[in-house]
Amino acid sequence: MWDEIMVYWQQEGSVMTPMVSLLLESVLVTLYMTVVSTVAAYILGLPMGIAMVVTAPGGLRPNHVTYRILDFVANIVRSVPFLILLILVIPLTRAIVGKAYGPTSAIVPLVLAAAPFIARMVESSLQEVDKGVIEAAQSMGADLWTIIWKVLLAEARTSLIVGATIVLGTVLGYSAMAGIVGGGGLGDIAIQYGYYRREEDVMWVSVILLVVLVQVMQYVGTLISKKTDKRVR
Amino acid sequence: MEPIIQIQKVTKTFLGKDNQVEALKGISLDIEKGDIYGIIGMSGAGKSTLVRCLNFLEKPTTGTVLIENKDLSAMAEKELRKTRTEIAMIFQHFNLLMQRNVLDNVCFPMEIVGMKKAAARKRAMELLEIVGLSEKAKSYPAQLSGGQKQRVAIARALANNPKILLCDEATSALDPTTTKAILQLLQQINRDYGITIVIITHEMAVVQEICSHVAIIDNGELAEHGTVEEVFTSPKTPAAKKLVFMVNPQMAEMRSKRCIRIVFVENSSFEPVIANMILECKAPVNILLADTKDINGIAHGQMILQLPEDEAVAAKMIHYLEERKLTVEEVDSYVG
Repeated sequence: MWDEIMVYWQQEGSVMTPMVSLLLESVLVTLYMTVVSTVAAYILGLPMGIAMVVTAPGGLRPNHVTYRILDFVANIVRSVPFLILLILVIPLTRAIVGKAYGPTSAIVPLVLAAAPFIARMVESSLQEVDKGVIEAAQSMGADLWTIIWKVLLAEARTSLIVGATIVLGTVLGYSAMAGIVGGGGLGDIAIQYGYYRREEDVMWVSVILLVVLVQVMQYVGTLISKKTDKRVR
Repeated sequence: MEPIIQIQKVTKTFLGKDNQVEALKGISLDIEKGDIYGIIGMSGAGKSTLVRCLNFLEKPTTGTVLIENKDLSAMAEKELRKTRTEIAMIFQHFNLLMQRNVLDNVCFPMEIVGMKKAAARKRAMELLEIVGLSEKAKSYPAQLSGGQKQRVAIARALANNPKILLCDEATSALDPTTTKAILQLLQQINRDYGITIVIITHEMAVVQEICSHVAIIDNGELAEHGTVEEVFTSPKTPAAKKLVFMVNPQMAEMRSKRCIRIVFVENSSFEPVIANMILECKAPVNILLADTKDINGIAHGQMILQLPEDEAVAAKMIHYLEERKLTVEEVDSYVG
């Protein structure tokens, strides 16, 4: 996707210095890695978090074995530092993407790292839902799926959005680390130009761009969570 | 009349880590159609557990519950859920969905039974009319007072035309005026729609206000049950007596251990000293012993009084008596 955009920019290149166009490309690459990884990680992590809450002791369908397994998986993946995970999963990345470098390849370890983190965030958000409201839904004859969709997820909405904002920020940080293995994006630029070539100004600009990205995400996330929260006023 | 709810030898044991708690120890009770049945007990007596056994939110350890002669323990999950749509419940803390507005909260039980959205909304508006909250349809629970939230919960409870309404301490979080209004609403619902109401409470005043029958639960056991008049006029068990006497603060046991002995030697027997003291201090005393006689217009003898707990009032009383030339001495604890 960004290849086409870059071709377009290079055509209009008269106003762009190569460095500005490189930085802009990196912003897009970073956003691509962050957003795609987060969405994919939610596809895995959200059901995992829900399953943890449902099977936990005292949950809607307590199941000790399932809960223990999920809890264990969530913990081991989070105990491996991301940088090491990045290198550990190279064979898997190769098997899935076909190569071990580039932004798309970085998505594989990013998803693996983010999914258990998301599961934990979802778990804690859903645990905040008032047990009395769940009981009320049960007393009305609601089945498990209705309770998950219309009570747990709907009532925890604000907390889930806040969680997603935190996840985005974390994945963005991880994506910068993917630069080490040639993942591309702002982190890559900072390492390649700032560290290896000692072009400190490039490093500073990439860092500032990363900070701005996180600030914007946080601002938008907070705004959405506040707008959708009906518990106040 | 046919009992709509039959509680049969229900026991419930909760397993702790290294102990087990017997919350219910074999309770049997029939509740008839159209009754407003109060289940009362001190906190921890097991009444909340009992009411949750009536819709199997808690499954009894042994024993069972029959609703319209159908055994809840014999039902499959799906059938049980269907039965629950006919047994509505309201709670102490209202338990509304905080992220939904009032109208959508009332629609929720109708979504569960798969009613069409337009029909559900129409019915929800009618129900809000009944509970007097039509103008709040678009408000969110956080914007409502406690009494209004309970009205929404009542409207929600009526949505699927239940046969039974369970109220778990439904007025305990409300002030006395609001409590009265909510109880009147419940009474109206019972009268207009013939819904059997089971009220769990720790306040005898609630039972007195609207219940036809009452069961007293004490320490996981059924202490006493019958019509409200029966239990009120002649409570037989200590648990019942305790609850009945709690209604009237003047009838409450005097808990103060502070007793005094007064000796009359030279007072006029025409002066009502004790009565005047009570009027002056505006607090009751308990006469534990009185042995006085009138000898030629002079009071002779002694009395033992139990003074109020309030130190200031007790001191005032002692002062009052001493001023009137009575001998006052404190006695540790008088056993008559």
